[in-house]
Amino acid sequence: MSKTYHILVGLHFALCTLAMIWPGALIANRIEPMVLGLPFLFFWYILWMLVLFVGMWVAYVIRHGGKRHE
Amino acid sequence: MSDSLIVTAITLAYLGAVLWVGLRARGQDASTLEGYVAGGRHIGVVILFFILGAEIFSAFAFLGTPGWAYQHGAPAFYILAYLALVPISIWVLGPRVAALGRQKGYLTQGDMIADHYQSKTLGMLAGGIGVVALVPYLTIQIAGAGLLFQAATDGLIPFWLGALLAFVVVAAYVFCSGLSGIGWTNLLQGIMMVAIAWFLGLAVSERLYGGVGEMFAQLQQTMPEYLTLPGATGMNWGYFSTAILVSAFGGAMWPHLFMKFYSADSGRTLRKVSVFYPLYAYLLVPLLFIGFAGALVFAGEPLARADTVLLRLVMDVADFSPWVIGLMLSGALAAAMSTGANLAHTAAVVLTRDVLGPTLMRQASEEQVMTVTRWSVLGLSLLAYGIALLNPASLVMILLTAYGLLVQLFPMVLGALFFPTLRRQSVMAGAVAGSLAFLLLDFGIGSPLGWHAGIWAMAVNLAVLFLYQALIAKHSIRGPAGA
Repeated sequence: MSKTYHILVGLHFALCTLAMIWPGALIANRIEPMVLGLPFLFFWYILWMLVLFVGMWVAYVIRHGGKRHE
Repeated sequence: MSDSLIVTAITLAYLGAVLWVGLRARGQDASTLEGYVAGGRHIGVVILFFILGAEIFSAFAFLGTPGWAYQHGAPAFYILAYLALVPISIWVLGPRVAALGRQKGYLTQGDMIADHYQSKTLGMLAGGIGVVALVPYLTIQIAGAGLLFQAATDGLIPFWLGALLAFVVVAAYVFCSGLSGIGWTNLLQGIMMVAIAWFLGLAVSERLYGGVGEMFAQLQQTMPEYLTLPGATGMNWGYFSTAILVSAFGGAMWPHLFMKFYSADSGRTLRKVSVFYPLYAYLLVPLLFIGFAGALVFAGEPLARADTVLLRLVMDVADFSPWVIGLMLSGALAAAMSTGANLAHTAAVVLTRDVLGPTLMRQASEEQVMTVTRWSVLGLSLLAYGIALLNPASLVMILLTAYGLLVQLFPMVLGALFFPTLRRQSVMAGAVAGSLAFLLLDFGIGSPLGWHAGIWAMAVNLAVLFLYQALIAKHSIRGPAGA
């Protein structure tokens, strides 16, 4: 479990990083479609900030959720 | 004139509130060294979140972010990306640093490096570079506060006085309350910044264009190059990407960020803080709106300085009441002061513990160290204020150069945390080679492919490190250094 967990967390971090730089951001480098009134590239960054947050939240709950130590 | 008085009164009231909170935060903790430096190692999630968040959101973030969007357009998303990625370092490094610190009594980066590699020189070197990077950084916050005061009050409060007011408030509560003072005031300042940034971002685009969507529709019509990369000024993908990586991951080497890992009450707390950290980056979104609004408004007659775009829009174009201008000034000062407080505190601790500790103060008792740390807060703040008045042109260059060198400590720190087989000679050779490569690229031949010089320097650093490690392994069968 522990090894899989670390690999998955690492992959999540790598994916989010690559989405925000070349080459990930390259595919989002456009104005249309506008989402929430924002140009697509702007929305892309807002979206990945959220994806990073959600992934880390899940990882946190799996590892540290429930029991409280110290 | 009466408008300037209202602005000044609101801002002074805000400074008073910050001072009150900061001085009240002085608990029993502030009387021991561990308490003064690391909040007794029991800072909880909420306060730690605001300490870590507010220290990143400096005067530069508050004024520079709209400035970037105004000047470059889409390359300003660099700031969103790097801030969103900072928590990865907190997640990975934080709990281990906190655990080692608790176990072995570390309070600074230099402590850990010096102890792990059994080399006081190495610790002093790390500390020395840290202080050289922190003082210009602090100067920029103090100068920013002075400029803001002067501009927002139409010169009623001149530069020297505005800078002095902000710096006296900060120095007073850091001197008295240490990290707890920073924690509680950052809670107040963080909320202030977020509320004001969002209010201004939405209000400016509403007043000038009837909404955010309308503003971007108009930008798409008239200046679409602002909305995608490479932006209005043609920033290349290589630089954009490597600058994000260096800022996001090298950022954890800043002593004022790194040292906060020691203050957490547990590794779990640090993980929780890092989970919520990407949300802090949403603060910058409305500041980007303001920059984009400025790109349209000032298209005909460009501003002399891009980082004045927020001030010009709020004060001259959008025609807000002096109450709003007073709040804007308070919010921007909050950004400068919350970062400045952390910088002054960290610089004083690093100077006393890493640089003076192994040299002049070898025999000092904890009480003496404590006193010297406190007075260093005032001394270094005064030094930064003096430099701000002189306003040397090379300030940003000193800051960026020192930061470039700090980043080269990364493999050494990773070694101390996770790779006990890395030897002192290897990490030292790597750091020296990386630093020289950085200086050579930055001041000499220029960076290949236009990438950020820090990336190339890190590649050299790692290559030399592995080479040394391989050579040493061949010639020695002993265990790791310091073991």
